[in-house]
Amino acid sequence: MGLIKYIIRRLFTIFLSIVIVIIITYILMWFAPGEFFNIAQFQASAGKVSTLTPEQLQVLIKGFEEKYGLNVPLWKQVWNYLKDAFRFKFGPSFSNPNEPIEVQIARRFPVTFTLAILSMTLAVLLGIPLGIIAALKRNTWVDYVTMFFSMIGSIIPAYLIGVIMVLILSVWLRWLPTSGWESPKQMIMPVIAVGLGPLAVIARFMRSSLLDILNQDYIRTAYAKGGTDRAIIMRHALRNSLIPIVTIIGPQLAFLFTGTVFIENLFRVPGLGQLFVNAASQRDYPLLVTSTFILSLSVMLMNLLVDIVYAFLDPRIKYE
Amino acid sequence: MEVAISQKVKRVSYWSAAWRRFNRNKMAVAGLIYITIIIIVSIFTPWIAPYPYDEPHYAHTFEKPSAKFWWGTDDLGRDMFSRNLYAMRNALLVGFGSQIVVLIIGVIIGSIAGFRGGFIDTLLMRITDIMYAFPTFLFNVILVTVMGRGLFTILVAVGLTGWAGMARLVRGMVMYLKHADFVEAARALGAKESYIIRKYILPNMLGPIIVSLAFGIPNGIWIEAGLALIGMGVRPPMPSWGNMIGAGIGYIMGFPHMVIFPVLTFALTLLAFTYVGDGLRDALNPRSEV
Repeated sequence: MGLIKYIIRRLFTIFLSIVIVIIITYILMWFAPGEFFNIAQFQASAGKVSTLTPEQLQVLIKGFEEKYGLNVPLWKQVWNYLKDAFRFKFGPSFSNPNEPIEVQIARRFPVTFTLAILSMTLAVLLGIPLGIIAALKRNTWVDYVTMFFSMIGSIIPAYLIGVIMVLILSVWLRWLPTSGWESPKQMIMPVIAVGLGPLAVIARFMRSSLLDILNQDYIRTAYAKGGTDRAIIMRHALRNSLIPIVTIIGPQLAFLFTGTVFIENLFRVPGLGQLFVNAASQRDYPLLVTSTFILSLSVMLMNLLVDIVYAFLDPRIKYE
Repeated sequence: MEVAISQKVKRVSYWSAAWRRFNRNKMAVAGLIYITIIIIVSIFTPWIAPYPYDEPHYAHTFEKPSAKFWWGTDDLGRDMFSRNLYAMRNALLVGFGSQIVVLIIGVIIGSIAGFRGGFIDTLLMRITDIMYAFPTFLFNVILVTVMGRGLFTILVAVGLTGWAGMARLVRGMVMYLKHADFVEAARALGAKESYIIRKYILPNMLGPIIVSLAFGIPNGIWIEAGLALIGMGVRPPMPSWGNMIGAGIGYIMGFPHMVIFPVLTFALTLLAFTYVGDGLRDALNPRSEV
């Protein structure tokens, strides 16, 4: 029963956080120069508006305001937006008025999701063994080399790693194409670029977690009982040292999504990150708010999932 | 007997001991030297740069490095070396400037939460948690969209989204220090609160705050470049590592020098700041031996 109560409380917190984030975003946009709804920009996009009389223009603007729900006070706009947003109805965007935002997002979400999942898989599948090896070969060159690259991976941003890979793998060795997202060959560099940061963090964390466990009393007891290295590490140390790794994956998710924004633009991957950047550069406010909504909701829900998994793995954790 | 001992022990102040520890870390010292050099270069950039950052040479576009253009030229024939110097200057400005904003907001929110406790603490920490879990780069982009794309607004935007870690750090230290044994002792001896804060709490917080700021600088630098990379940073022709890389990536197969030089200086700068941060963390931690 505790688990369900815990999940409900967390979902409520997520709901509140999102409401706050959206309110802040709306208020910020209200203060934006050129206002939430820019008439000059609207005229430019409408194109033939200049041939209209001022009266016709007023009618047109009124219709526009009605379509985007801008003819009500700010608090009501926020309310209307949130009411629909939690049912995944976002209305049309400025830049693409004929297609509802949820359709645009549904088309791009699988791309970003694939990129994120592949990167995270890479980070976990490589990061954990690397961390284990570094811990077991502590203070040897294996450890130093692993930790050096782990440090580089955690401080050099994803897009810089992407550019460096293009320089080596495309320009110098001519192995991989510089952009795109159709063939597996085109996916290699974006996935590595996004995944390397989390990989480095996981490897580092895994190393310290395992070293920590190896210093525990019960490991000494196991050795005293005459256990071999292999048996002790496999049966006692590894299992317990893996548990804290789950906690590091949660915060890495926010980081990962930031990485995809850049990488999608660098490698021309048609995902949510690209949609978001286009929205920002074109001042497409409905799309910008919705990107914020979707990304923060995804990150928070995945954080919740991570916490639930963590509680399952570690029986000492109580749902508070 | 006591006298004999106290004569032998040479008192070493916290800061000189820290400096000694810092000097033992060779990479941190190398990083500090590099950073000192680039700061000096950045101050005098307009006099050092061989060309203005926006001066095109249409007869010399896409040129490889030469005696005339040390790091080659870009698609408009602008001198890459000069542009790199200005990009470095902008990056440092945002890196350091954003941390001033982080320091102000983080210390204010953290100490209010830590000293007051109760409802205000809960409220402030909830906000901090949201900022911490949220992909803050989104907020950066929105803030820059709203406030404009100048260097100053960018550094303010980076600061406004980056204070959560600092606020948590300060709150934690305040909570610990306000009931630490030596503070209770001072209070028992009749010290005033303002005296305690000045004499005991602030000096003890300084080390961790400096370390946090040192790691925040490279963070600010890559956000600035990242914004420019996606076209939301400083307005061209003002160079940034981000927009130089963004422009160069289109010509990377034919003219990799347009990307290589910004990437190398950028990566080197991030590494240097991180090594200095590492060195500071080890040096300012009083529990590590002298």
